[in-house]
Order: sequence, then structure tokens, then C-alpha cells
Amino acid sequence: MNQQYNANRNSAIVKSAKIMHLCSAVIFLVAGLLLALVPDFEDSGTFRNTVVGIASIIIGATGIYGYFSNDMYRLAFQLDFALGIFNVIFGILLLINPVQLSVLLPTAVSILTLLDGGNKSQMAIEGKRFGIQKWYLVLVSAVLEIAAGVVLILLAYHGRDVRAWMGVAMGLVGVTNFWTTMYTVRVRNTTHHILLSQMGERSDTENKS
Amino acid sequence: MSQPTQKTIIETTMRLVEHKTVKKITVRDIVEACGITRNTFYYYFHDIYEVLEYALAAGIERIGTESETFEDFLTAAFAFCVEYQKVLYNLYHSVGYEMLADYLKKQTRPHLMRYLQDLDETEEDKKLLCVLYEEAMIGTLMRWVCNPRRTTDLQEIQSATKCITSYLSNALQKHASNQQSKEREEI
Repeated sequence: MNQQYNANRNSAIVKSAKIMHLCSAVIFLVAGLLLALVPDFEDSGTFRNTVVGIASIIIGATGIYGYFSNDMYRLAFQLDFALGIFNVIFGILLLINPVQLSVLLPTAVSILTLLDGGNKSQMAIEGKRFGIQKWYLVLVSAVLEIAAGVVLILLAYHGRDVRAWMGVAMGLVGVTNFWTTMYTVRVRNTTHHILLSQMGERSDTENKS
Repeated sequence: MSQPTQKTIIETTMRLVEHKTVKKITVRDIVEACGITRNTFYYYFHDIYEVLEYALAAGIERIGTESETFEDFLTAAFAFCVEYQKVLYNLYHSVGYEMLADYLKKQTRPHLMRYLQDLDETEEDKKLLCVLYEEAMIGTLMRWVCNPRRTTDLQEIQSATKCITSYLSNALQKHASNQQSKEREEI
């Protein structure tokens, strides 16, 4: 009974991590679309920095939570602890000093995009090897993310207006995270697997006797 | 093999391979059927082929250890292959005849050499005999494996065993008597 309880609890944690990660991916996508479609909404940059800051904290926190959930495939949240810490710290700093950090924003967003794109590309390749059928969706998204990150950093380096491109990059991060979470996070069928583990323990006991 | 998780992975994989070719089975299928995580699978095995290699090698090793004579080994090996005929058939369709046959020969060779050690022959002759035994044994097995409609019972296994061993022992005796006549002529 204790085993069933633990399995159910674990299953609930993974389910909640999946839902939260999907929601945070959608939030990131919406934030990205907002920045891409209305880049001139506010000139001082405070609103933009606040949007990016909040979105970063949300996606970082859900990534860290997902890392500690015990999902079956262990594909989606592999590097989310490290990236999650980066996102959360970056988001907090952006909220505390929105104006002062405006200069760093395009570079930071492009680094976030490149890191996430690289991570998801690796995950897509591992997913293909593992047997995930929609691995190609994640790979295409991740490659587009990397491309957007490169374009963003080049534009920032050449002093061009990067506001819309930041939104595109963030939108792609949201889309990629959405596919990843949808197709590679699996909640265990608890009753079936408890029976299997009991069978394994019984045969082990029989072997020992 | 003492790990229950490893054993569960192997049994599950064998069960899946009975119904589908190896190429159609993914690590994901095995992980879901076993109720383990992806990392747990990769902790024990690199891929599905490694699971099957491990299972076949363990089976052949067990047969070799438990069989005292070559005839016992042959009978047990044939019975093993009949029991896992579907697995071997699907494996044959995934990796091809040559690769499967070469693998089975490689696994059985050390056991065959053990049975030939007591013969009064040179090392080269023993190796040649080992090749002859291998080809006879694996060739017969592969004919059964490749024909799934054929049902093979214990009587058929025993008569095949007797046929192979008596033919080869007659060939050995003839070779030995030829050697003796040659030595006498030289003297």
C-alpha cells in the first residue's frame, strides 16, 4: 500500500510538472509574440524587461521543478536544473534593475536561446534513439531557435534594433519547450508498474532461495 | 546475472521480440513495458541488440556449463533454439542470416573446443574439427529458425543430434585410421 501511495504521489508530481511546463512554454510564446508584434510599445524598456523577467522566472522555476520530478523518459528536464537557475537569476535581476540591464537584455536573451536550442537539439537526437516518434518536430524547432539566437546576437553586435527579434527568439523558445514537454514527458502507469516490480522482487527471492 | 531489473529488461525484450522484428521495437517500448526510466535501461544496456546479445550469450553459457558431452550440448542447444525460435526468427529478419549465424558460431566455439580438447589430434586439426562441428550445428539450427512454419519436436532434435555426432565421430575414426596407416607406411 505504501508503494502504491508513493507511486501515485510521484505520478501526480510528474503530471503537475508537465502541466506547469506546458503553461510556462505558452507564457513564453505569448510574451515573445507580444514583443515581436509590438516592439515599440514602450520606449524606456521597463515594460519589455518586466515581461522578459517574469517569463524567465516562470520558465526557470518550472524547469527546476520538472528536473526533480521522476518522469519515465528523463529526456525533457535533463538540463533544466542548470538552465532553470540561469533563467530565474536572470529574471530576478531584470525585475530589480530593468533600466540598467536593458543594455544586456539582447545578449542575455540570445544566450538563453542558444543554450536552450542546443539542449533541445541534443534531446531530439536522444529522443530519436530512444523511440520518440515526433523527435523531428523538436529538432526543427531547436534548430530555428539556434538560428534566431545567432541572428539576435549579430544584430545586437552591429547595433541594430533587436526588439522584434528578441520576441521571435522568445517565441521559438516557447514553441520548442511546448513540443518537448508534450512528446517527451511521460507519466507512469502506477498500478501496472507496481505489479511488474513485485514480480521482479518475487523472482529475485525465488532465485535467492 | 543477479540484478532483477536487468532480468526484467531481458525477459521483456525477449517477449517483445517474439511478436515484432527488432527494428520495430524501441527502447521506449521496453521502458514502458518494464516500468523503468530511460536512464535505468541505459545503465544496464547500450541498446536493444546488446540486450539480445546478453540473453543469447547467457543462454549458451548456461548450456555449455551444464552439458558434459558434446551430444548433451547439441541437444540442449537445439532445444534452446526451438524454445526461442520466434525470437531468433525475428532477429534473423533484422540482422540477416550471416550476422546471426556468425554470432552463434562465435558463442558456441569455446564450448566446442572444450569437448574436442581430449582428442588425440594436433591443434590445427582440432580447430578444423571445431569449424566442422560449428557449421553442422549452426547450419541445421538456422534452417529451423528461418522456417517458422516448421514445428520441431524433441524426437527430431534427438535424431538430428545423433546424425551429426555419429557422422562426425565416424569421420574422426576414419581420419585417425588413415593417419595410422600413413605412419606405418612411412616406417
